[in-house]
Amino acid sequence: MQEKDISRLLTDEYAERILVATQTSSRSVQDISDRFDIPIAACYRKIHELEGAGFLRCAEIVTTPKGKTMKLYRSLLKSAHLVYEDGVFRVKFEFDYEKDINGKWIELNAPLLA
Amino acid sequence: MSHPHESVMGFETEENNGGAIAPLQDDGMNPLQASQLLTDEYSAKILLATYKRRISAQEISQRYGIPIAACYRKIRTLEDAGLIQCVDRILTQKGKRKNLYTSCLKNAYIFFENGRLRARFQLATGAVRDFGGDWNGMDFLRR
Repeated sequence: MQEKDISRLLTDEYAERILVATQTSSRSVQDISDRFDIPIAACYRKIHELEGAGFLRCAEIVTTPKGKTMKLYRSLLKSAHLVYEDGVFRVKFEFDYEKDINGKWIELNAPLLA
Repeated sequence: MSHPHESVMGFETEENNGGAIAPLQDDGMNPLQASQLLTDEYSAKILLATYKRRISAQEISQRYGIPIAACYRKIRTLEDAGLIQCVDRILTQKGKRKNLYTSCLKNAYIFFENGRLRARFQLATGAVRDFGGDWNGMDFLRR
């Protein structure tokens, strides 16, 4: 996934809600969908997208009283900064785990105009 | 009491800044909508296309590979948000009027920290527009 796609994912309305929802506690897809008003199918899709991009991880698998297993997700993104100065776009991400792009400013103009 | 700048998601709890001089707040947009003006691929391309340049919608569309209808729509959105402006209406050789646009955005900052999204736009005029609450104490931005 390219950095410009990552920054777009971050400002996607549902993706942003999911990242906020899972910032301080692990939550199930159903819980996120109910509480943050995201249609359940879109919620599953976005969560998989965010998981694939390394923004979320499954922190726990619990069994409900009805005997269903349920995955609880947690955000791995600590911070993200997008800066536009004098005609140049740059992004910087900070994740909770070792990641090669942690804390590095990445210029977006070239990939954006490619 | 309803707060006009409260995020539609209801995540924001905007603190009262006790009568301090608040930067101009846009009443129509939450921080997410504001940040999407920059992270949307076409919008970002249009901002780069119009940076220190006067350029028409047609030319942006051709040079940056943006479908013409989408290009007009995004230009309109950016113009409404005050990030670009029409600086001239020139007459083409075929006698058609053509709007030339230029970017009014000097700097923009979109920060996601501690589960909160904030956006700050600095316009060429010197005006500052903040979305999503407090930017006080972020002195490094005022270089």
